[in-house]
Amino acid sequence: MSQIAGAVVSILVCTSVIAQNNRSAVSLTGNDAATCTVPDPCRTFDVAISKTNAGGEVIVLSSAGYGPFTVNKSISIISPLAYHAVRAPASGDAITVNVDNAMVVLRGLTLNGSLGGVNGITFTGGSAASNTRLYVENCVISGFSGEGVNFARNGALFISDLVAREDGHAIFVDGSPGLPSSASIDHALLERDVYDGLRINNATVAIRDSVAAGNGFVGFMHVRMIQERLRIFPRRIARRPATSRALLQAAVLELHG
Amino acid sequence: MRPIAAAVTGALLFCASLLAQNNRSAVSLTGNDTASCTVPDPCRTFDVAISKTNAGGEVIVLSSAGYGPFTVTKSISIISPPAYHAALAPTSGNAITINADNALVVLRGLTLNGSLGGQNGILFTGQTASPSGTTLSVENCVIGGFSGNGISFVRNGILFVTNLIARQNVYDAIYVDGSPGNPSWASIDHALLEKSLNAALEVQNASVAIRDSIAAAGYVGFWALASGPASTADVSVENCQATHNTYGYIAGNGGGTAQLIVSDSVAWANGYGLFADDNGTVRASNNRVSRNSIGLWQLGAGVFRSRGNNTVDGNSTATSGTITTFGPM
Repeated sequence: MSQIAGAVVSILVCTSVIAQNNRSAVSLTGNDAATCTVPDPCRTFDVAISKTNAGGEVIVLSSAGYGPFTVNKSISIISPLAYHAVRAPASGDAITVNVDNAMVVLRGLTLNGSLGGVNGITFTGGSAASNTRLYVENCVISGFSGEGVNFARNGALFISDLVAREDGHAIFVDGSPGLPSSASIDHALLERDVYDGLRINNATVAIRDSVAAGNGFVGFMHVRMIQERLRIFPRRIARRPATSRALLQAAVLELHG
Repeated sequence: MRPIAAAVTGALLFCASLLAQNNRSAVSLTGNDTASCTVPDPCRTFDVAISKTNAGGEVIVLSSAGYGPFTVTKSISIISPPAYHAALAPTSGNAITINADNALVVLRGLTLNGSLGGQNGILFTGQTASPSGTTLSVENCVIGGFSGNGISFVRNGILFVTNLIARQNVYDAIYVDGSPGNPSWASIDHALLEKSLNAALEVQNASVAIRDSIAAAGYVGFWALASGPASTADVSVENCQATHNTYGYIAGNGGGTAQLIVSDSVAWANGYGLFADDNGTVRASNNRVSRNSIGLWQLGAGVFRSRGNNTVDGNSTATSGTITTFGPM
């Protein structure tokens, strides 16, 4: 009987250890030893995510840097318009998403790669179908040496109201042969990236109401997609190297309107 | 006489103090539901704040927090400024239920998270057979992860939606219905309707205009259905984009009368681009239709009218069935 009671106690202890939030919060004055709730916020996204249930959300309560993080479950990371929630990694990727069968939302975040960051957002994992959906909304991604958004495995990507400036490629959408990714992009500014504004491989991508300006190579590269009301700056395309020009000629282009 | 007058006066004053309500109420993370729900003395949940607000009044958000599911039974505005994240994340049932006749309801700046078990994001319900006289405005809201519909507008009324993100709701992102003889109206502007397992926009017993919007990665993008024999669905889609859906745009597939106008829009990378099914009429003008299995498709008793200025190119099959072309007036 006492053994049973002991087992019950240990279950209760385990439960309390596992207890997590449906809504977590981070703040400049938070502490990672806290519970990460809105009245008792944490200091970094990574810890807040670890204390949040799958399907839950982490919200920002003040302007600050909240550190690089990895997502391994369904979650929403949300910064309201009032705040500047920034990740400025000195190396590596600002946000890594590595999860199957998940819904991941990144909303209102500023990613600064000018201090040494490689990719702004990387979606990575195995080569099998991921069934993961990534929503990137109202974000700014700037100065990364690799890609702003590096969607490098099979999945579905949705982007709206993005500013991606001075990255390697602003957006790179890939999947794998036979398992193409899909993307829908609305209101994206892809500005002065070292290589391409939007680069596509093993994927089908729709983009509208967007601008690619001042990119080193191509505004919209390997464009197996529609282009509607896009403003492309042909002068920049004309300036690109001959190798890149040949690549563009080999690409599947479907230009309408 | 004097004691009676005093008693009556006292009773009236007592009642008045019980009924005293705010024209403007407020909620805050640090609020308390026993408070007066005024801006200096906010409450903690929307439901209590609404109960302490006069019809026609407003409830405003003072800090980021979750404020709980609520039901609206009168005219009211629930407003979260852009500075704050005002969330409703129910673990069961609906985030917001509206059950009011002759009311003006405004929902602005709210985030509804259904990923923890919520059924519908916003449900407008009530006596379905009669006109409601109710108008619902949904502005700057995000509705994600519900097992039912993002917006389930299932009785007669008028719906306005602007700047909506509805992502990954399991049934429809927006479902607009009324009743036969009492159709609803809706006007939708700038909606991102992403990854709905059924339809991004499904319309029955209603007249709906949508523009500058995207339906992506669902089963059906824009659907004028009219399922019942007496039902009608009348939809105008302008400057919209349907991509990665099984069906981009459909009129029909039910027993009623479905009419769909698609203009200046895109159907790309869907299984089927624009589809006039049984009992449906599609009128298509100045659209771009590409990389679908079938671009323009008419089936059975469906009617497909193409103005002749649609760009239909690069589909596996450009057209199927009878496509009737017509010229400019």
